[in-house]
Amino acid sequence: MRLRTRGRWLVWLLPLISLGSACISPAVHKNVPTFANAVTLATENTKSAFDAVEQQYESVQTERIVANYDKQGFNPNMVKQFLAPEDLEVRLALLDALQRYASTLSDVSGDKQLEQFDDKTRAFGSGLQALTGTAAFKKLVSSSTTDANIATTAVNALGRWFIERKRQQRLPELINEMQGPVKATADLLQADIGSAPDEFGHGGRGLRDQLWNGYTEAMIQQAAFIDQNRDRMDAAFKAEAIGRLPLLVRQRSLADQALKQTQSTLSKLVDAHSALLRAVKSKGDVQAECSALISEGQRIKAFYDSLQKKS
Amino acid sequence: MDPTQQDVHDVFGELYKSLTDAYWVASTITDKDQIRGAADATFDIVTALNQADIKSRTQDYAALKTKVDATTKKLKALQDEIDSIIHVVDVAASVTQAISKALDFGGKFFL
Repeated sequence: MRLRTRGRWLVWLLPLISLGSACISPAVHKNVPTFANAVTLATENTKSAFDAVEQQYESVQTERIVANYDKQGFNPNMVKQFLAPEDLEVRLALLDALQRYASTLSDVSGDKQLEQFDDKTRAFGSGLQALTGTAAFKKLVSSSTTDANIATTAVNALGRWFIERKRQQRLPELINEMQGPVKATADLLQADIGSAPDEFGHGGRGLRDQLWNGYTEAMIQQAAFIDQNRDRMDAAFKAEAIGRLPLLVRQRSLADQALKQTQSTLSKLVDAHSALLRAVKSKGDVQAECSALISEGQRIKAFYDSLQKKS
Repeated sequence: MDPTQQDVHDVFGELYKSLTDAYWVASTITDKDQIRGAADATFDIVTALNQADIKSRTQDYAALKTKVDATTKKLKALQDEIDSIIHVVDVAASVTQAISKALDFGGKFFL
């Protein structure tokens, strides 16, 4: 009889607990995994930016060796990397760390753990029902399947409430803690990407300057190769070699645009992270910001992929 | 006033631009070769300046990684705490099943 009275009390309490837990963090469940995808895309594109410049630098060296071979021959010391391995590794390591942060954030705030918890409480409920259904248990205690269901629901609601409470208490603090490092990372990467030179050759620096000049250098080596061999080339080969010159001009602009857009997605990533923090605190929605970031990131990724295919 | 790194970069950037522009309008292969040699050397200087500029931030990246890793570690701890709640229910389910089995067997044996 006492169990039944307690059961009725729980019937009133459970919807209140469930209601409380349901309105704690729907924004977190929905937005964090989307944000994590956006981070993955932005960091992969940034890695591709470094890779594109490295490949282009390699290509310039090859074209120089070809154009100068008759006069200078070959020496393995002519082949160098643009970025020293330790400079590149530390950047890739930070990008990986950022991805791990986003992925862990997604795991912690996503629905997976709640679903796991529901599965476990369901298993617990089945066990409890089986227990109350045994003849031996019925002889020892007077309890019904309804009581078992109420107990299971109580465990589920209380457990979910504890999980949501832990998240609600800790996630805003942890996301807030990362706001500074996310912005500093974006600032550093944007500085690395730099800017292309203007029409007077001023203002260039970083990856964009290197890539822009690298394409110009590639055009000069290509033109030198054509000049040196114009009398020895057949018409088809000559046409192909000359046709590569305007192609390099177009590629220079496209590659620079991709780097510029990568800089822009890094700014948007900082904005999306700020919006995420606001959403976690206010239960708002940042889906629109993250979706825009993802679609822009996918466009840039397609360009970097096309560079990979060319090489 | 001392020139900034960007001022130095701009001087060589302008020189490289002038040399490459001159290359396209040079009329003899000899002139082109001479200009190309100077442009190649300037390209190497600008490359070295870009490499130095990027390298100047390497330490900052390493420091940032430590901060990112620290927050990720705290997130993992939170994940583990949540996992422990799930584990408690898992243990309860196992215990319930074990009691049910014990009662079943006990009932057959004692009652």
